[in-house]
Order: sequence, then structure tokens, then C-alpha cells
Amino acid sequence: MHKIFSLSRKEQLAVQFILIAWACVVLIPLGVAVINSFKPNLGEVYRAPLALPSEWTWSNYAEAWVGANFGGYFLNSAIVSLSVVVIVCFCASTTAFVLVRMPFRGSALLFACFMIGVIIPIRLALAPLFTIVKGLGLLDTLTGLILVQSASMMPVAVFILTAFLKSVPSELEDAARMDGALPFQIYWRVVLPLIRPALATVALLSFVQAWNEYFLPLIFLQSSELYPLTLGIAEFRAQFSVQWHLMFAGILIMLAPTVIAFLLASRQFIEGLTQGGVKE
Amino acid sequence: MSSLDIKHLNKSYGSVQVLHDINLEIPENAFVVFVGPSGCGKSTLLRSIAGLEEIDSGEIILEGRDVAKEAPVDRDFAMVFQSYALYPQMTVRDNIGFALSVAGRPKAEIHRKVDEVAQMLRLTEYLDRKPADLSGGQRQRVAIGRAILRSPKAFLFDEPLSNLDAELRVDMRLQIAELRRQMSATFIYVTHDQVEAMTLADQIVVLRAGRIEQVGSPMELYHHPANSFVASFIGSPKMNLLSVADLGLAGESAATLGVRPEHLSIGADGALEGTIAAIENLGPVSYAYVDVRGARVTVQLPPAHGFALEEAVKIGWADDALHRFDAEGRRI
Ligand SMILES: Nc1ncnc2c1ncn2[C@@H]1O[C@H](COP(=O)(O)OP(=O)(O)OP(=O)(O)O)[C@@H](O)[C@H]1O
Ligand SMILES: [Mg+2]
Repeated sequence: MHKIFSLSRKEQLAVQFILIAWACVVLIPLGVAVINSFKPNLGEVYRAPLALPSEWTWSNYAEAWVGANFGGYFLNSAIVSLSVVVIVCFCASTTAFVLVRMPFRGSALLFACFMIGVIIPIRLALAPLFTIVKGLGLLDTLTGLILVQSASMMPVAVFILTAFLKSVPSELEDAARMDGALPFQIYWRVVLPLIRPALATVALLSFVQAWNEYFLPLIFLQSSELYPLTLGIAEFRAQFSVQWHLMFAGILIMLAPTVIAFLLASRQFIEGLTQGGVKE
Repeated sequence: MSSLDIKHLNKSYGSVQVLHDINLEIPENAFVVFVGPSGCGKSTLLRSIAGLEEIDSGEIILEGRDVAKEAPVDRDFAMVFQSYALYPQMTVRDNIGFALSVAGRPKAEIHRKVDEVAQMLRLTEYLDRKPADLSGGQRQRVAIGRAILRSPKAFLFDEPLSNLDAELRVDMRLQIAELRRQMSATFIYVTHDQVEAMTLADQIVVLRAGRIEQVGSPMELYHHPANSFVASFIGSPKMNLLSVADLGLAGESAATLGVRPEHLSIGADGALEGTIAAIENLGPVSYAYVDVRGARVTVQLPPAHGFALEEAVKIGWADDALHRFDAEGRRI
């Protein structure tokens, strides 16, 4: 393979050392969590935290899932995150489609507003947001939380999708117009498949963001049966404060969906990048 | 009655006017080719006719009805794009059948029509492939198939062959000519390629900077160019345009003389003296590039010519082969 520049042997060693060191920094805590989550009792965690378990067991996971109502929190997180993904992907892609391909008077201003949203964190607007959600009677409901979280992801999603769509040649859409497709058909059958790599990015970002969000559920939810995992795990900590083997199992349960989301999305990126319709 | 009539069409992008007062009558079932230098507005004119671009003013009259405000699909034109514009995620079958599927026609009918078109274009064995798995020529055939399926009133082609290699281009050119004989429809075709224009067209429209310079049959344009721009644009190699003042030609009323390379000859009694700067031997013909007082003149030579570089020669012509243009470039 042709390289733009090549490193000397020493430089390569240095670079690899840095990369491996970084990988260790990231992976060791995760590895420790995995090892300890399979240990049969707490004593083993304290005695030799870095040793492999004497006997591998799934019981910690079962106990965390059932005993600490993890199942319920997990379900809430899943409902919220998946809804956010669907809402953000649909709303942001339709918005980007209209902003890029059917500009109208004021569309530049609208786009500017989204860009301001990228810069200003949603927490700054918390007071008015709270009033709005309260006014809609959506406090302490998953619907309210879903809407707020979706809105908080929209600016970045619109930004990513407009940038991507601008780089996609519009001849395919012209062809679809000649074929008699209506704007929504063009969006659904032509544009959406074209922007799939960018859409996968947006879906992944909003999923991870929604899944890991701690602050917004804390503000907008009160009843603990609506809590997502991020809040649930705090309860869990109070309940099992020194039960490290259970704690690790809980953290890993929480981590699993984001890892799966990454794997799914990366497949989409690759598929999206390898299909060619327009002559390059 | 003419099938397509364009009247006073103006089009601008922002403050830049791209098409200026275009008037053009396209007879029914004609093959019309738009040519002109890059950026002169050929694509814009074609896209305006298609309805993909909104025009500022003017009429586009299709069979007595002004369609300038109608949506592309209602004009009943089909377009073939330079980039093919095939939907990458769909199979060849779905690509060709897209227009009918969008129109909500029954599956069986779409299937049958796609099969017919595929047979005609020799695409049957590729129907289940994706566009990415086809060669350039096959992709372009799919794009043409998509256009044929709707049996439109007119086919619009925007440089459909310019992404193909030379051999394939000849092949596709013949296929388009054949298609034209099979379909009763108007063809409007944009190209850079002289040969495509000369061989396919009933009528060539020469554009420059958003204005029509001349409309006529290929032979009309070749033999009677309306101005020096058309004269130098049509024909390959280009017509020689000789400035009367620079060359000191006595007794000439015109400002510029135009003469095609094949009408010039090198002999003992030529009016222009020069030296041969380059010779190109193409096989059936050869061309000599002769420097005459700072101007470069192209002369067609017979295949076995025996001239050498740096040779001093005299160039002559028959008077009836001359095109005379005035100071503004208009034909006299
Ligand atoms: N979307 C657009 N916005 C602004 N200007 C445009 C746009 N499309 C085309 N133009 C301008 O309009 C003029 C005509 O463009 P057009 O594409 O019709 O040229 P063309 O004759 O097809 O050229 P080519 O032979 O290179 O394809 C050019 O000067 C171009 O810069
Ligand atoms: Mg063009």
C-alpha cells in the first residue's frame, strides 16, 4: 500500500508504544470489571482483584437483574433511547432534506438556529424547558423525557446530516423527480438510503447519548419506576454499596447495549460506503 | 405543428443570467443536439425543458400547451444523466421499473414491461444485479431503459456517453441511433462530442454564453456557418480563421477569412508562405500545421505526402471554399 509518509523503525515503535499504552489505560478497568463480575463472592474481589475468578458464574448478573429491579430500569432506558433514535433520525433527516434541497425564505435562519443549538448546551435553557414540559403536563412521564432528549440531540444531528447531504450529488433526486416521485417518496426511497452512513452516525450518537444521560432524567422524572439505568444504578449503589461483584455486573449490563450499537452502526457505515450508483 | 416550442426563455441563477431569450422550435420526432463550449448553458437549457429548473420567464409549449409551470413528470419527458443517476440500493429491475412503481401500477404489469425493455437493451441477465456490479456501458443502458419504460414524448440526454471509453462510446452511439429509429419520440441531446453531434442530429443548436448562435442541420452548419464562432466550433480539426489585416491579403472586403483544412492545399502557387511546424499522420489523412506570419494554419494532406518539418511551403485554396466574415464575425 502506498503511504503518504512513512515512519522510521524507531518512530514506529514509539507510536505503537503510545497506542498500546492508551489501549491498556482504556481496557484495564473494563477487564477488571469483567473479571470481577464473574466471581462467586465478595471475598475473592477483595483478596485478589486482578486474579481470575476461582469459578466462573453468571449469578451476579442474575442477582443484579432481578434483585435490584435492573430489568425495569433497563426497559425504561431502552424505551427512551430507542424512541429518541427513531424520532431524531426521522426529524433530523427530513429537516436536513428540506434545508439542503428545498431552501426557502428563512431556511438559512432556521439552520443558524440549529447551529446555535450545537454551541449552547441544553442545560442553559433548563428553566424555560422545565416550564414548557410542566405546561404540557409531561413532567414525570417517559414521553416528556423522550421529547426533551430528542430535542437536545436535534442540532448535532441536523448538522451532521446537512453536511453529508450537501456532498451527495442531487442527480439521483432529479432522476426520481423525472420518474414522478413526490417529495416524500424521494426522501423515503432515494435520499434515505443514500445518507445511510450519516444516519448510522446520528443513530449511534443519539442512542449512546440518550442511554448514558443522567442529568435530564434526574430533572424530569420523579417516580422511581420510570427511572432509566443511569438513575437506577445510583439506587443500586446505595443498596449494594460494598457488593463490588454485583456492582460490576450491573455496570456491564448497562454497557452492553452501547457496545452492540457501535457494532451495528459500524456495519452500516461500511455497507453505506461501498455502494456506488452515481459514476464516481 | 411542431411538438416542442420554446419562446423567450430566460433563466438566471441569483443575479447571473445564464440563458438569454432562447427561442427554439423542435419539430415532432426530431433529433436535436445542443452543442457549445463548457459553461454555455446547455445543461441548464435541457434541465429547464425537463422542468428540473424553474425558469424566470418564457414559455415551453408542448403540443399547444404551455408546460413551463408544470412538474417534470407531467411534461412526459424522460432524462438520461451523465452520471447515470441509478438508485444504488435498488436492483436493475427496480431501477428500470421505478417510475411505474412510484405511479402505483400493479406489480405484474411492471414486471412485464421491465422484461420487455430489458430484452430490447440486452439487459435481461443483469436484472437482479445492483448498479455497482455493472460496467459503465451497462449502467448507461439501464439508465436508458428507465427512460424508455415510460414511453415519453421526448428523451432528454445530458452528455450520456462522456463517461465511457472511446470504443464503448461508438457502440452506444449506434445503439442510440437505433433506439431513435424504434421509438417515435423527440430526442434532445447535449454533447461535447463533434462526431455524436454530426452523426446523430437532424438539427444542431449551437449555444454560446447562454444565447443561440445558430440552428441548422449538421451539413448546413458545416457548409454555411452563420458566424465565425459556429465556423470554428463545428468541424474537427477546426476551420482556419485568417485575419485579412494580419496576413496582408489585398483586395479583400471581409475582416476574416475562414477556410477548412481540407480545402487548403500546398503547392507552387499558394497565396500564403510559411513553414511547417508540425505534422500529424492519422492514417487515412495527415495534417500539417503551418506557421504563416505568426498565425498557425492547419492543412489537410493526402496520406502519402512527403513533406518534412521546417519545410518552407506555399498554401493555396479554391476561392469558392472561402467563408467570409465581417469585423463582428458575421457571415458576409
Ligand atoms: N446551480 C447553479 N447555481 C449557480 N450557477 C450555476 C448553477 N448551475 C449552473 N450554473 C452556471 O450556469 C452556467 C451554465 O451552466 P451549464 O451547466 O448549463 O453549462 P453547460 O453548457 O452544461 O456546461 P458543460 O458543458 O461544462 O456541462 C455556468 O456558467 C454555471 O456556472
Ligand atoms: Mg452540462
